[in-house]
Amino acid sequence: MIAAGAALVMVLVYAISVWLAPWSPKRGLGLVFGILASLIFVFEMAYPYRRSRARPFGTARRWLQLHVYLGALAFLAVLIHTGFHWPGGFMGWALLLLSAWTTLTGLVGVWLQKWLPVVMSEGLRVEALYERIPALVEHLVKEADALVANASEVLERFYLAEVRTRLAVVEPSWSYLLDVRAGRERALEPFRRMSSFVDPAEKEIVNDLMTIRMEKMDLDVHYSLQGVLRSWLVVHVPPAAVLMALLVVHILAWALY
Amino acid sequence: MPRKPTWGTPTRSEHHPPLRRKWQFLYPSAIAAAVVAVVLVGGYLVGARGTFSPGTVTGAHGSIDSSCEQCHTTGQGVSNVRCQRCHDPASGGRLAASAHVLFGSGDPRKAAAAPDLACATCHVEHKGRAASISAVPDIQCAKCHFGNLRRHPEFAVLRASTAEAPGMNFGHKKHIEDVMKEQGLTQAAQTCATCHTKSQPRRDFEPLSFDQHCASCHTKEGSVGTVDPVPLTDVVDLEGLKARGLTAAVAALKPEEFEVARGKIARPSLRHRDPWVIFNLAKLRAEGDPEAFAGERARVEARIASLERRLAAATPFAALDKGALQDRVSALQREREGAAARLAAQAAAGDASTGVARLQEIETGLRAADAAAADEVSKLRAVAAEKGAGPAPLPTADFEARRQEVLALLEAVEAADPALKPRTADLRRRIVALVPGENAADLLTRVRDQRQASLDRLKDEIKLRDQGIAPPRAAPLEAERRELQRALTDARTQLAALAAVATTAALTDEERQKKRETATIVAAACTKCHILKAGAFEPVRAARPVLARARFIHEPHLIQADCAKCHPGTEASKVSKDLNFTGIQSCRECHKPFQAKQDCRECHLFHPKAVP
Repeated sequence: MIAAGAALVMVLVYAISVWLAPWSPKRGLGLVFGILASLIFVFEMAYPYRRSRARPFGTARRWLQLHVYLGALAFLAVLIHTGFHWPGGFMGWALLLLSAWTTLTGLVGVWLQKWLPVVMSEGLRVEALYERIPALVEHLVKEADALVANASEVLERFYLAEVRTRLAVVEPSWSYLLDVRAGRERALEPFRRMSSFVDPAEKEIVNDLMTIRMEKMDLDVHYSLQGVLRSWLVVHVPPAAVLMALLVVHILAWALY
Repeated sequence: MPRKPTWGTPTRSEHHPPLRRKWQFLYPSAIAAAVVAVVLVGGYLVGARGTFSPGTVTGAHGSIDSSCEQCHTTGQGVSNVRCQRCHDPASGGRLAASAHVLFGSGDPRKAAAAPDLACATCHVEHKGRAASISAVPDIQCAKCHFGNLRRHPEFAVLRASTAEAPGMNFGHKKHIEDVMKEQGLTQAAQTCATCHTKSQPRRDFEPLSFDQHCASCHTKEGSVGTVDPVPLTDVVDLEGLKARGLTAAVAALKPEEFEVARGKIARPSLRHRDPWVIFNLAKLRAEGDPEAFAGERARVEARIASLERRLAAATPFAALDKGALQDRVSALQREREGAAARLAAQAAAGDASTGVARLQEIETGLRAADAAAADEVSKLRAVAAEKGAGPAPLPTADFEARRQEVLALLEAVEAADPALKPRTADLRRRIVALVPGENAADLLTRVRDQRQASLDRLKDEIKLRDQGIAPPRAAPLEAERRELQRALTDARTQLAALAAVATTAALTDEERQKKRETATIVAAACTKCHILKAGAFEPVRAARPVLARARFIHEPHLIQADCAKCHPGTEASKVSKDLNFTGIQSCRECHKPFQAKQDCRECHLFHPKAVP
């Protein structure tokens, strides 16, 4: 609410100012909004210090909220600074596009951070640390190998042909962003079919193999979605740093000329 | 026993892989940012300055896009002198806000008080190649003027209910009736195009000319009339004109067009712009009204001096080496100091000239006898003593009469002692330079400020030259030089014509009156249409725009409406001063939101022309 109010005030200030006098990014309120956006960007770049340094804003959560809301306001300040006009050259376009990109990727990141953990906790039975997933997969393979060590030839052949290859490697997929249980029924179908062919004594082994396969699929989902949660920073942080570099050049040019 | 799944997060073990490094993205990002900054700054240092620019400049400035110093001064932004290098090379000051105020108000004092305005305030650059920096938004105009067309006042010419006489005796009524009768037309509006013919696109109507528009009715066998006999002692005959070197001008005249008998000369036929009439009228004026003639000659001489000065100042900087620039600086410094010294001398004598000292005496004298009256005098003294108050300016008509008087006096002084000519010429130039509404102090202030502005420009140019920055190319300067040259040629031709009829003979009042009567006879055929005033024809302004501070082109408007919509009643107009124009209301009918444009710049120019 505070951020929305601030945004409204900024737009109102712009509207009244434009009504009263010509708008220029180099003078008056146009310059003020440019300076405001720059200062907010500098504050935004201090976000990595939220854990290891003093927290004047209370908690890391509060800092994150400020990071998100001020970031959005900074982009609005950039737009107001330009007078809602398209820029005319490389530097103008680069600054505007990088501001837009950084803000957009930041907001997408916020949405991912809120949505993916919920999706994973509601749709999956297994929880796992991203970094440990390859080791867990390896462990599952060993467990499955042990299960079929003394099984019949038919079951062993089935395991080697249709199960082990899918267990051996982590299989991330973008489709899990749409449905965390995607492909699950199709993956279980061979196990159900196999249950009707094996001895009743080996049916339990087939069920265990099926459980292991499910766990492996849960780990695949974790690997995919946690990977997205971590890698979105690649599209957010480097452009933000480049934006800061261009901002410095922009301010330098303004001061010189 | 069925397998138990591994619920929850697996516990850490000694085989647990290391977690993601804390600032995994930050260091590469910082490096990327540093690389970008180094590339940009390095590029700037080796000349790739476009990357520093917030946007490309407009197409007309494209050639200096990457040469920031052409417009910018490091640490000081864009100064007006850099714009003037190309756009006001003759240092006329026409781009300054004061020139705009003078152009709009005609009030030199108001103009002098106008705040300085940076060119870049209205003309914003770096908005792309296709952007028009001359497209100044209305809001800039609204800083001083009304906000929109709805609040546009009625045109000044209509508010005053008078139009400047176009120098002709002309009534639309008679001409429209004649054309309707001749061409069998039924509506008056159908006749307009007979004389008001379209010109090139966006150039409005063709100018009206005697040969094209009037001659068919107003000449009979090539003659516009006759001149009754006038004494040969007052006028010059054909041979006399030839003897005065006007052979080319009178080549078309034939001896049979003159009748000489009993010491008098008459013209049985007369041409339009007849050189004999023009010459003799000027001669008779010089003899019959020497004061007015002297005033006119002084004006032309002063104009020539002013134009010569501006033409010299308009020499492209590229053509001047550093020594020449320094010479100009020295000359300008002397002129500025001279103006400042004269101004200081006037200020020192100001109390006496404005009567402040006298008012002080009166106040002191009154104080004992009548305190109330003394207070009133005290108020008057306070007003007179205000800084820069000076004597109150004369009304325009009185001003012109007084100027004429002084110019005639100077003429007499010069005639009495030719050795004083340089001094009288200087005084004459200064008197002609005065604008109605300003006094000598205002003029000196204007001169001092103008010289200072020119000095600033020259010093800036020398500084740029020292930095190795090339002067602007000559092309933008050439247009203004051509315009100045053309005006100068016209003025010199005018002066030569005046010099040809100049006389030093002192005539009695009676003789002068006789000359004026002869002039009336010589011009009789012409005065059917032209207006003779003080021995000279009024300048003809037929079909010139009456809106002094706006530009209007008929062509696009004629698509939307016929002539009568904006000019009702023209068919009943009997005198040329009639405006036959409905005014701003007719503009508002179409120029409104979602219809025709209503921007200020659609009709108005901010900067006056280089050569008025």
